[in-house]
Amino acid sequence: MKIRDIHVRKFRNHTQTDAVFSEGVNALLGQNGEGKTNLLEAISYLCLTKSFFGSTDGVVLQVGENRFEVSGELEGDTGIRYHVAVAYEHAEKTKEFFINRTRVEKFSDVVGQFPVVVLSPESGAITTGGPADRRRFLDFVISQSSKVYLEDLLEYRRVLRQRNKVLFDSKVSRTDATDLLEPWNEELVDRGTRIVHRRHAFLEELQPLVTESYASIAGGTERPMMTYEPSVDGKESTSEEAIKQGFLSELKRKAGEEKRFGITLVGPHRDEVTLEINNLGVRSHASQGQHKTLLIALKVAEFLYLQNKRNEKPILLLDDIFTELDAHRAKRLLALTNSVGQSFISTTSDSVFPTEFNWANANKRFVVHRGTVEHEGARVLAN
Amino acid sequence: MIFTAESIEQLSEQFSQLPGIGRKTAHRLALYVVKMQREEVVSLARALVNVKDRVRYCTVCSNITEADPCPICSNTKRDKTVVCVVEEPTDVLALERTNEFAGVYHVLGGALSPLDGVGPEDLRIKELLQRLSDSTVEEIILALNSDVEGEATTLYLSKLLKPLCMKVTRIARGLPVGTDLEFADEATLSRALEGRIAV
Repeated sequence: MKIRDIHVRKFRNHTQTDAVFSEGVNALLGQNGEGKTNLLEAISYLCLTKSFFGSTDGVVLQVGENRFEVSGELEGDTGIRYHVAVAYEHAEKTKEFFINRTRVEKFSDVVGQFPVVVLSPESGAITTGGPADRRRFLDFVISQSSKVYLEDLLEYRRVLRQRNKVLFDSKVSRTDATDLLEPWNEELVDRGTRIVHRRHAFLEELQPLVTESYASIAGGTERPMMTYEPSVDGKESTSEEAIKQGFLSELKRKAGEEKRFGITLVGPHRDEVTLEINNLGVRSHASQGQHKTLLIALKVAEFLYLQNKRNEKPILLLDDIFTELDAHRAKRLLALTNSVGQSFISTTSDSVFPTEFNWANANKRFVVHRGTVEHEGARVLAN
Repeated sequence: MIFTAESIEQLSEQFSQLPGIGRKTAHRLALYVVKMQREEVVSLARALVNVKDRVRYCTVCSNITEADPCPICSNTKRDKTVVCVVEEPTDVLALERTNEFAGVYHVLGGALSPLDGVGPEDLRIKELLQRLSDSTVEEIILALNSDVEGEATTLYLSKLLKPLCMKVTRIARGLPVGTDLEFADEATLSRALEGRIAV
């Protein structure tokens, strides 16, 4: 997947930005606060219908304006082109998404169609943060590869909120809610089982990719390991039926506790994935360097996984990450971006690019300044 | 105040209370009313009041009606042994359009949703049970939406109704008729696979 061009209106500090991108590396150069990340965020709106930071539509809208628009032309690996547009109206609080000028009914239909991999300073939380950060990583990747998973996830969250309300109400009013809980239990187990099953399969497929890319960055001796620790599980098997039975018995076991706390204590919303290097927990034992290597390995694995599943090279968004990487890792990552397809790299200094880096045809440099984006070649000519 | 006339402002405010009408649309509607003939406006206002004055709920099925019981419940040709349970009056309209269902309805008035404060006592479930104890119902068809709230209501009702020893069924989920398999979305397709039947 490639983005050929983008048109951004009233989005963060980009009042009116138009840019034509190259097929390879697109370097976005500029000082802090000039709008580099904002442009990446606009790209994320085209591919995922929303910000990868989780910023709300009202927040990314330019201050004092009522409507932002992002549109552009995307091209699949097979050469099929899509005109994609997203527009948000603040007064009506409506967001519309168009593919080839046809309005998309459900945003979840878009997710995964234009796969992206994002590596930003926030991504560090995958290895350093809590279980919720790793679940978010799982969900982000699996949702882009499977629409069924995304639908199950959205429904699961809805069921969870409903069920928590029943538990909370019964705690407050001190009444027995067993009858009221029952329909929600059934739906929780139904969606939850499919989610756990899918996460098992995903991690199994991702592990060899992580091992491989870790070795290619760090060399041979360190072995990274991901272990899925679901909140509910089939005792000996990861079949859907076994997970479902495990889920049901765990719900029964925790029923008293759930009533006391007034909240759902069982299900994939409490899953954990532990990360280890040479059998030592990453959160407690890994060095800064190991954290970074593992993070990049995970992101490369994510890239390869999505490419496999969708038969489409994802677009790579690298937000200001070279400040955090040493020269060696930066070089490895750059070598990779050179071979992967289209990538967008925001950085304050172009010294991260080796002097021999080829800025010919496939790669372009852009200068981002006060919400404007200019192809550097054109700028030099204009001067 | 955006308009120079307070009455327009008020009308626009009223319109924006309606579902699916945002502020801009409300403004447009209000300005349209200004341009309408006086008679037209009066008949619009009368129609609004009439709806409120004349329409009520059928005491049998809770559908909206002007006559009580409603034309469906009072129709002697309809099969009173089959009751189709739906969420809203619009669902009755949808099913009636098929011309295939000869039974009668029961309108719940929504679906279970604790987040919106809707529990079993807020739906017309008591009325349904009352109705079942009085008459000779042989089959209940649960035709609720396939979102999580509709599902939960279906599960809740099936648990409640099954011990009453009658046939309880639910409508099938799956592919829309007349569409190509390749155009079906993945979630629908996987549900359709789940609910496959032997041929």
